[in-house]
Amino acid sequence: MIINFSCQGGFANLQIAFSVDTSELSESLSQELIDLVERSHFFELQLQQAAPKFSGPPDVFVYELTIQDANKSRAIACNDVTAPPALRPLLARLQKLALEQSSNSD
Amino acid sequence: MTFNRCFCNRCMCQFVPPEVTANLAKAGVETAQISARASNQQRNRRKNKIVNLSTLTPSAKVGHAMRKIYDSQHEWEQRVELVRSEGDPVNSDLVVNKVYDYVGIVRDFFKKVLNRDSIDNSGMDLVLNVHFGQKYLNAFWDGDEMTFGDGDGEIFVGFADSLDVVAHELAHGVTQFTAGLEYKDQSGALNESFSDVFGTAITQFANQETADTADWLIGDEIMGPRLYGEALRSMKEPGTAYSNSLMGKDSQPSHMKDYYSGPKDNGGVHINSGIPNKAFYLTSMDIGTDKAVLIWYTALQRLTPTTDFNTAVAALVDSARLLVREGQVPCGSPQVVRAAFKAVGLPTV
Ligand SMILES: [Zn+2]
Repeated sequence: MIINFSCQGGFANLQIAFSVDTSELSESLSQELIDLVERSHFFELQLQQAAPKFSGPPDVFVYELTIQDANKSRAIACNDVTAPPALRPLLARLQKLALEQSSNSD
Repeated sequence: MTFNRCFCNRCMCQFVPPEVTANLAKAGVETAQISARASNQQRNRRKNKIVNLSTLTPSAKVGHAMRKIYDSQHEWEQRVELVRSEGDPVNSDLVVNKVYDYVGIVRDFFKKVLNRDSIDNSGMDLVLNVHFGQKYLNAFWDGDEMTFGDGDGEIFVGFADSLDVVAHELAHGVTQFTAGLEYKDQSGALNESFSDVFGTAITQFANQETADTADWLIGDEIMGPRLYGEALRSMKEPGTAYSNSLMGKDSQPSHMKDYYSGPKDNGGVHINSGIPNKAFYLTSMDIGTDKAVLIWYTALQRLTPTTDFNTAVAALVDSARLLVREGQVPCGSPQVVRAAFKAVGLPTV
């Protein structure tokens, strides 16, 4: 499973990203992410009709997430107002991984 | 009532005592808009109106907008459980009590100092959600209410634990109901800047600080142990608030020559806000934060959704002139505002 995630904005104006092929991760982290994707029902998730507005609301994070798995692929964008609650645990975990990656990067 | 003489020797304008100004900010603003075209006769009428109002209004009122604090209970949902409403006794949750007190300070500042009755100036309820999500690293205004995460305890701690942050978010609501500045590019950077301006002015007011004694930092209270000592923005020296491997380096410019014109952050709304932020700092150092915020608030009501930096500078200078005429800010304030913006490279030609 290939995951491309980015998160930008927020009160702190974070600009972070995380891209990974789960087959290259440790067994436990790989399984954790696969489970989170499954539990979010990522490929079946109904998004709100309203796509995230480019210009607001103020201080929300804007998330972009693309997942490729076997022969499925889906790319979604949402923000703190439009993000489906079911997707939240996955977004939060990916955000943490993105922050850990940036803290290890220098 | 008595008027005090203005501090400056250059003119004979009058300075209204602060306790009167407190009651009259709104009346001042409304008349200020008329006074651009006002004759001496109208000006005299306005003075009478000021006197009458101050007689009729016995004391500065606190805002009466109702506070409603909801606990998201770590779900990713708003309004999960109402835990403290206006007038309720203290809650066992310290975060609830803190945010209740902070939003009360913000509400009362808008009422007492700027004579604005809540976010919409019609006493709109103030709805705040705390403990949103799990380790959520943010706070936001969604168009109707405010939402705060607890942070992860490492990078950021609770976003509701900061008066700066609460005031910043509520001010986004005020901007929505006044100028309605679009949240992108220069209008978006102005939107962000106005929120930082009110955030810092209200913090200084609450802590009884002045422009010289304040730290002019935004978000320093929410930095967790891994970023302790850092801040998110510095209005005094934009670009110096942080530099670390987690967040990179503060990229706020303090001058138009370093203006960010890329696509990130809605065209740099949290980046280019450094430029008008610095101009507010410079103005406050000269005439005081309390006077500067009055000019900024007056101007905010004259801006439109697509106002750019140059137009905002013109509106701020005009507002300063109107408030000088009203006797609410010192003579020389328009020149101070012009000089502050000149120092950051505005207006551009
Ligand atoms: Zn903001």
